[in-house]
Amino acid sequence: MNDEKIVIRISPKGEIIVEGEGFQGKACDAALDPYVRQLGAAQETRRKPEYFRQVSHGRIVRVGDE
Amino acid sequence: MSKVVKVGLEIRNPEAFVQALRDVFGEAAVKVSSAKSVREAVEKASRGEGVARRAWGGATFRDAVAVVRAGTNYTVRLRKEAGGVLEVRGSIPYSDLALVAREEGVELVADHYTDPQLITAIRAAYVRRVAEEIARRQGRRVQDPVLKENGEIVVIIR
Repeated sequence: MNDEKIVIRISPKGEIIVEGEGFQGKACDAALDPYVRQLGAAQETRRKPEYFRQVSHGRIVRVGDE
Repeated sequence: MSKVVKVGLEIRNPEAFVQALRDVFGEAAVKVSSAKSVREAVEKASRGEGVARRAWGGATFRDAVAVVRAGTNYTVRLRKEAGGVLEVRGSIPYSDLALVAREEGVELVADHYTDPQLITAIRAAYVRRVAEEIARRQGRRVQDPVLKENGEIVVIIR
């Protein structure tokens, strides 16, 4: 959990943004979802490149090979 | 960053909201419907047994779960990102600030004279209370909220 953090921004207009930072892959979902569920209804979700990065388990995954 | 979610704030944890109101206004200023718990107060309010029975403009407080009376003074201190502390001072204007149970859920009702900075500070206090409960279960820690120059309040959980 070294550089992992969850950032919640509350705008003066009442918009809430929940961001995961430093997470690799789907660990972000597990960390963020409880905050999103408790705070209200998710209106828009944007995933960052890190989200799609494979967590290394010592094997190479090729995408696009037949 | 790996994921960004925009959330429409809904008060799904009235207990945490009452705690947040007490954080802002102090223990004594927040009157909760006579019940053992906020959950019970919500149930009572749904049967029309709220703490306040008055109307102001279009808002009916018949189903209020918790009320902060008009005239209540408040001082909210927010740490600024640029350094220093912003103090938001004032008193609740003409009508009470009420946490009202409705069919769709619980919502905060305030009149349009209420300082928007106060409303943002209450939202931030609520988000912090909710975040603290979840962070405790995750083994994380919630840092003090920080006010940015654009008026946004940021709560960080590590």
